Amino acid sequence: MSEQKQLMNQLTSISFAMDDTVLFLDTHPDCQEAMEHYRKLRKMRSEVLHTYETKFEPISKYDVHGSGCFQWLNSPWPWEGGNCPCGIMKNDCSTR
Amino acid sequence: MWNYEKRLQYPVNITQCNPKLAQVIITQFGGPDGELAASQRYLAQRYTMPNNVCKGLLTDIGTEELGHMEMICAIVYQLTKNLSVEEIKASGFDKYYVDHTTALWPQAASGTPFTSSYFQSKGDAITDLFEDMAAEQKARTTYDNILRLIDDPEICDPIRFLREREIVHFQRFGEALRHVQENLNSKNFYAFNPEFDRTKKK
Repeated sequence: MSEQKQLMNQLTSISFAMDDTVLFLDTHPDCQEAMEHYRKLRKMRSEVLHTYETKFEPISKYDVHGSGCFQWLNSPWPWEGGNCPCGIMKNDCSTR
Repeated sequence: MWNYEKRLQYPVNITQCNPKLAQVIITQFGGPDGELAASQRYLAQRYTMPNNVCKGLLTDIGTEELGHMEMICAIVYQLTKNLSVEEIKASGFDKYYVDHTTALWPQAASGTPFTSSYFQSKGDAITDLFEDMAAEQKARTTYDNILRLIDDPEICDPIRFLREREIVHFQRFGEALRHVQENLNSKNFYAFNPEFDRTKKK
């Protein structure tokens, strides 16, 4: 697995853990254990996100770095999937 | 204000197209128990909620549902990518194709267009939270029904993730409902609308 894909997988996992923790905190705002978990995840997420956006590409329009062209448009769109570059599926279609 | 992140909440990587299944799964985009209805229900209901737990939870779950809508669209998109005319005819996708080619359009599996009458925004926290809990269960049943129709692990995996989220959201809405009820007179749950009626000032 490429480093980019590995980092994106990490970002996906940590972000999801945060999404789930936030919903728990919405209904348990006084839970110190959940708050501690949130703080830990927040730190991990900001580190992984920084590494990803520095080495590869921005995932937010607010974080486009670099002096060249506008990089926001150049990375693949998330619905395009990692495993199906254009043309690959044409030959293995199942219409069951 | 919303901010878009160029990533899915959970990855969708489908390598075999299947337009027949796409026509079933699209119901979770624009159908009665789909992700578009879910997101609009919660994001519409939140404004008049009587406390911050409900406002926060509806904002955060409503936002997550927008991410789920993107995942469903990604699944349908990948299942219908690069179709030949023969595949379109053989799978029965021709009836969708004639109006939308392979673009995404919010409809139920039956072809019925999306409508906001799929959900309610009633202005009573108890009424709305009960609807929200029912909506999560209806969406969970829909995912169960979809899972019975598929065996491709590439499709099952993200669908199972979405099914799990319905269960978590149901739990959280139940907690929010309890929170609202605990702040009411226990003899008077249903005669008092916490979003509209005001308690008398002492």
